[in-house]
Amino acid sequence: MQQVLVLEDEADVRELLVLHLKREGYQVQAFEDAEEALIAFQKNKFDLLILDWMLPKMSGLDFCKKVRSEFKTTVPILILTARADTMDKVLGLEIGADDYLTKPFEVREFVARARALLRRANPRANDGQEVGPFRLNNASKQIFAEKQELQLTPNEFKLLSTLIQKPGTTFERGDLITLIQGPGVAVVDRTIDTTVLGLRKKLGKFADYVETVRGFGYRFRG
Amino acid sequence: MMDNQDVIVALKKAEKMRIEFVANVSHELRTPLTSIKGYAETLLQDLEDGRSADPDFLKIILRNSDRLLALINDLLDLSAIESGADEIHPTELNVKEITDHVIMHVETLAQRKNTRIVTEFLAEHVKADPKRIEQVLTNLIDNAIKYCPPQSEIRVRWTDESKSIVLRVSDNGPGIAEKYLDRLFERFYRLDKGRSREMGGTGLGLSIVKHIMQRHNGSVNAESSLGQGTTFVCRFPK
Repeated sequence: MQQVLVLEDEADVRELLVLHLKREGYQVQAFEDAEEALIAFQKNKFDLLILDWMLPKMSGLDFCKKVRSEFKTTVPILILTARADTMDKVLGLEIGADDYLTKPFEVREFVARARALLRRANPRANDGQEVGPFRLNNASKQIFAEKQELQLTPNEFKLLSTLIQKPGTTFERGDLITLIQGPGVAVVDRTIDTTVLGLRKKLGKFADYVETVRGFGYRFRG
Repeated sequence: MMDNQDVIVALKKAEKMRIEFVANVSHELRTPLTSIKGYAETLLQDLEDGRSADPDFLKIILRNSDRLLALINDLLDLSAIESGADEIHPTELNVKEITDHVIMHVETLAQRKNTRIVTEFLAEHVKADPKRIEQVLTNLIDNAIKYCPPQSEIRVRWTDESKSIVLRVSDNGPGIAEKYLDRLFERFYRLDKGRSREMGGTGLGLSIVKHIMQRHNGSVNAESSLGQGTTFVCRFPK
């Protein structure tokens, strides 16, 4: 599982980032303080660093500079900041960040950028499993239907990727509910049907691939 | 009198401060907005996905909206006081009446922290704008309650000194190192950023106090040393 380090001193924003990264299936270590984050960075291997710029002691920019120059790391870095000036963006990128996102951002954009950085850093993530017209890329959290990427919600992705990986196998509703249950989320029984409904709509002409097994649950057409 | 060189240095300093202020305002406005927007988006997404809405997300949105509103109010206030748009009408006020009125408003917060507020009136009247002096008292007493540990004691003392009427708001909290004392009145300067936000501070309260005192041709300063508590001293000219 890919590991993400989050450094953000604002508790509400930090929890928001962690929630969405975990929902995407990444493992997250979050820090309020740059010094603590630096210790964790030296002890663990991370696939992506997400840094807030304006922090009380060591800034996110100094953190970025330090890990690039002292630790010679090439791990992708996404800077989050309330500084929207072009010169600030240029400075952030010149200092070694790979991407820059201005607050307030759209959660979907944040997740997409994090995903893109992880994909770029791990080209093998582009390899995937092919079943019928579908190609699943678990590492980059993408599913393609006839080479067209499906725009899925995290729940839809979890559901479809689980079904695709075992074509012909019937999954019970209870198991699927457990599967899509994420942190900070209360899942109701109806959730799975709503998710399948939404998924089928997005699959269009391939909707039949997700079959209902009456009284049990769902399966992917084998 | 300033020569040209001094004027250029002063203008450059003012411009640097203006740029810093704009950057700070931008940061302070964008941060709560990030939470409001982010959690609202999350709620919407969860509802679309058939998940039940987490009430904690709504609480976060509300808390950050309050923070944003407090900041906007303080910014507008500061701007009105600084620019002179809001006229000051000094009138003869009874210091006991005005102090008791402010304490009544902060009493709930004080009780929650088991903090005792002690008053002493060695002056009877002060010439000040009623709305603004209330703001000075509220900001100073409110700060003292918020940043002192529970069961602290806050003293509000009015004295009649030779040229001025003096208000002292003292606490027996942890105190502030001398090197930070002057910076306390800078806009958005916070000794402990995390705690200040947690307490709902905008970073502008003491700056507002400073400008109100200046508009009254008075002054404010802080006296403190570590472990000895802090006293804010406001001098109103007679």
